[in-house]
Amino acid sequence: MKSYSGRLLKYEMEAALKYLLLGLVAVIALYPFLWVVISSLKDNNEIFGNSFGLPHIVRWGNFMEAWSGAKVESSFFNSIIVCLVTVAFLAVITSMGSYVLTRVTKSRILSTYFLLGLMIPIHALLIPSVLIFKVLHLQDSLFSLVIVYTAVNISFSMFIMNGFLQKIPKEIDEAATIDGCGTCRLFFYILLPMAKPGIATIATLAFLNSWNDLLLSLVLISTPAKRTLSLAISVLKGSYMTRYGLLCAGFVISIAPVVLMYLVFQKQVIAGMTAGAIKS
Amino acid sequence: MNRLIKNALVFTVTAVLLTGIVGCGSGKENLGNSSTVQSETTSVATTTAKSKVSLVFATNWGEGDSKYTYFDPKFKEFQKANADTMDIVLETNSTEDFKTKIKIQTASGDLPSAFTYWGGAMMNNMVDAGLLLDVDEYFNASSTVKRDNFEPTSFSYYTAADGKTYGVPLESTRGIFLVNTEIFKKYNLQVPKTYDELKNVSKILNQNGIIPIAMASNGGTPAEFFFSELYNQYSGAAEEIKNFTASRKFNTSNAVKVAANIQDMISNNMFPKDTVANGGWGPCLQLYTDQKAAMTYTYPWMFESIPEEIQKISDIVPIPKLPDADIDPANIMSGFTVYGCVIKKAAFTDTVTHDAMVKLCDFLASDDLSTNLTKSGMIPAKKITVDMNGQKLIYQKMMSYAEGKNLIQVHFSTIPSQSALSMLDTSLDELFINALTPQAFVDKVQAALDKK
Amino acid sequence: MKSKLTRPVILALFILPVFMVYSIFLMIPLVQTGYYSLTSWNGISQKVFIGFDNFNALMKNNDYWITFFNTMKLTAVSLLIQITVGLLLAYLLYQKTKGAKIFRTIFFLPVVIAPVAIGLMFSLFYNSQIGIFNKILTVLGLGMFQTHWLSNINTLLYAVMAPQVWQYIGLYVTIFLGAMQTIPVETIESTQIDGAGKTRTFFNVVLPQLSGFMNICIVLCLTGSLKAFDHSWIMTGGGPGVRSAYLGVFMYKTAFTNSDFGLGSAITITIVIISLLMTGLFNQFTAGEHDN
Repeated sequence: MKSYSGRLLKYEMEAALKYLLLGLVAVIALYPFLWVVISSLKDNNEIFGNSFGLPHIVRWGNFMEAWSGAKVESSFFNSIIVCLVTVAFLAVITSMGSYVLTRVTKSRILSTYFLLGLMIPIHALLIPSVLIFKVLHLQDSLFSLVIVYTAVNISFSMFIMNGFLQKIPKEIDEAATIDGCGTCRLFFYILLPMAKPGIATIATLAFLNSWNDLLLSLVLISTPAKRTLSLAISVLKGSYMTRYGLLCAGFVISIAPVVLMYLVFQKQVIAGMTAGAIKS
Repeated sequence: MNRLIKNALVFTVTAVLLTGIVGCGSGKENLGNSSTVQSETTSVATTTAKSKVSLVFATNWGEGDSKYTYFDPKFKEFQKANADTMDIVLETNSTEDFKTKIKIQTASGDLPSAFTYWGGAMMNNMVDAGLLLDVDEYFNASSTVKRDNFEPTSFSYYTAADGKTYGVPLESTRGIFLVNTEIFKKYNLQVPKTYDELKNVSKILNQNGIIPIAMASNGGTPAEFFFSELYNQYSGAAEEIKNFTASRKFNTSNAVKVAANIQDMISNNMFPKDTVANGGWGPCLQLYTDQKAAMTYTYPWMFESIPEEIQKISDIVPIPKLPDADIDPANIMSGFTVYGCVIKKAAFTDTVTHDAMVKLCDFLASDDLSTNLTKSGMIPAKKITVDMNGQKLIYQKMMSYAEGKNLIQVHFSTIPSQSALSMLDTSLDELFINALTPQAFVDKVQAALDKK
Repeated sequence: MKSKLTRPVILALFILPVFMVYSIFLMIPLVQTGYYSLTSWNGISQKVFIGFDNFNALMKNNDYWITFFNTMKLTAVSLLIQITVGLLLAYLLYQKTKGAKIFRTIFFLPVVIAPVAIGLMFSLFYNSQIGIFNKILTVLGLGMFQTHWLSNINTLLYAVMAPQVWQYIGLYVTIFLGAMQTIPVETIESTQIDGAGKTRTFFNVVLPQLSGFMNICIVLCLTGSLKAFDHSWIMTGGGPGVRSAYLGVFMYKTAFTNSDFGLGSAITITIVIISLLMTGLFNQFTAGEHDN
């Protein structure tokens, strides 16, 4: 009797502690986001004078100015198209390549080759990329962004996909092949759905990297109408003095769709993942 | 099977990499000439037909900038008025992005037809590579803009070692030392003229929780100009700064004296304690406009950030005289050209785009545009009379204070290399947090000047 | 049979797209950077081939070593904090926690925010004049630790590191949580039926299953730290001097601010080499463990 109620109390305390810790971390994680949102409603005097309080004068105008200043209608559209195409393209070619690397040739050389990309700082790509796209006659083109965003995300995507594909037991391959599945069918209809968590992870991260990218779009895109959202918002920084309230409003406009996509995407994937786990 | 794939891939890698290097290498040689090749073909194609010329103008006077509201409408007017002869694209970026973009464009051979840019060390590389136009060629070709429409002293910033001028100066500036008269009144203090007076005033201000002088250093701003302003209180200083580009000598006794004085000011708690976090134009001025500091040193491009009430209670006074100084600061004022336009030589000399370029430059250098830009607090390099009535109160105060003053140069304009300027900036950061002795500070900058 | 003959071709075609994109748009730039590092080039005029002079200059350059060690410190701190806290939080969320989805999204939020916003926020946060960090310390009774975080030589580097280390913890939570969810549920349940507590389950069952992902996360953390740039650049410009600069910041200043692309490219190449060496060493180390 005693030990049972004792153990029950222990579980409850553990649970309480766990939620306390998670809650604390959540507050710390949420705070900067809230800070950006609150700051977007202030002018510079309040950002410096009243950095961490609620705005005394709420400046909704910041959002309107940021919206028109960053030409959100066109830049948002550009960003969405570029990022979605990048993610789709990346997911397909990376998982195909990862399949070969994990199940066909476990080549250390190839794995290391693909890993090199992780080690290259992005600034090193600026001048060479401009030159390469010039040779290809793809200057000032959103398509060049798709290609280069895909390229820079390949390394970690391969890496993560390898991890997820390795987890899927080989017996499935064999079983399917015995049943008469060709390579393509095996890959697309059986393995890929089982690797959904992997795809979800790389899609989320690659989308994020591409959405927030500033430098590559700065050097590869010149026509203002072709600008991506993060680049358009960066124009809001002044020469000597930045209106941080305005800039924060721009950030909120930029973050909102990403958070939304994350929420929507993660929900669908979690459902897929738990189903997959039970099956095996 | 596996070996086949491996071999195929190794072969493809080598092939791709080789083509890459070769392709890009030869591609680049063509790129350098491509502009001339292109213009030759277009001039052949359009000798008779009146087709539109394509130009690109780049600047950092974009949406977030104080000059935006005064530049953009005028530019759009110009675009419209010339829409049948030229297609002109406006590319704007914030300052740091703008510098990066121009550097990349120079490396890839894609400079805009004309763009706003800095002179001095920053334009040296482009001048040496023959990319920029000697503006006297423009003045000769123009019917509306001539060299003597500008203040003669404003050209030195854009004049290179060969004596030719490679930029059209547009923006001059003045450094001002502001005091908050209300705070002084509140504590029954007089505005300090000597260093001893400054020390006493600082002690009392600190006791009451007020920062004496809002001056800090993050990336060298705003400290680099403050340093030069103090420097000019010593005899020989003006000559030293003027000859700095040629002499490459920063390690002067005057420099050590100024650095030592700054250290003394730090130990007397005249500056905010956290000079890195409070550094930069914005945060530094903010301390003053929030009335947390009684004095500050700033420049006209910050005027948009000074609220009306603060403008009213601010007075412009000379910086207190340093204890070992020779020159009375009441007679001097930092005044120099800080910004203007440069012209891509190839775009100007090309027969197809020549006329359009002249028109564009006429617009950029026009009295109309300069007058409009003054409303943002800009002091024009052109000889135009500014209507004081339309100006901010602080601007009026500055112009009346500036009358009769000896205008002095700053290290920023005459420093001969970019790496030395960046070393000066980071070393000032270190000086302000007491991480360097005055001599060490000067030596560090000198070492950067001595390289190459 | 037919499928067996064309299989290698299909497989080659499978890996070809990713291989081509990667090689042309990432590897060629790397080779070009390597080439630039052997030249003296200001970005405009002709390149002058100078062999390994740039690398020699770097080895003798004091600033290079300062930024090198700054980067090493960042790497150590990142590995220590990001991986362990990421694991811990992921495990807590893994155990049938109510609202795990919400927590997971919230933890991931900092990752989404642009470094400029984080940098600005922390600059204001640390400001001893107007910031609240010192005030929070006083409230918590730790007032003696108050200082000018960004202007104090001793705290400067770590103050600059903190936002970066903290911002990306959520990334590792996401990866680890995803990884944990691939562990077959039966494995966990059987251990718990045997009476193992949460801690024992973690160390004996969960952790070994995650070894592949640990590998991934450690390499990501390592290479990410070696490339670090944004937070340092935005908060302090890498200064005062180079006290809060990383190799990436030093490279940017050299190449873009000082217009010395040859030397800047050399710095980039050293970053790549260091990454390769550290990753290689790490792989050797873990490969050895696997053999056991």
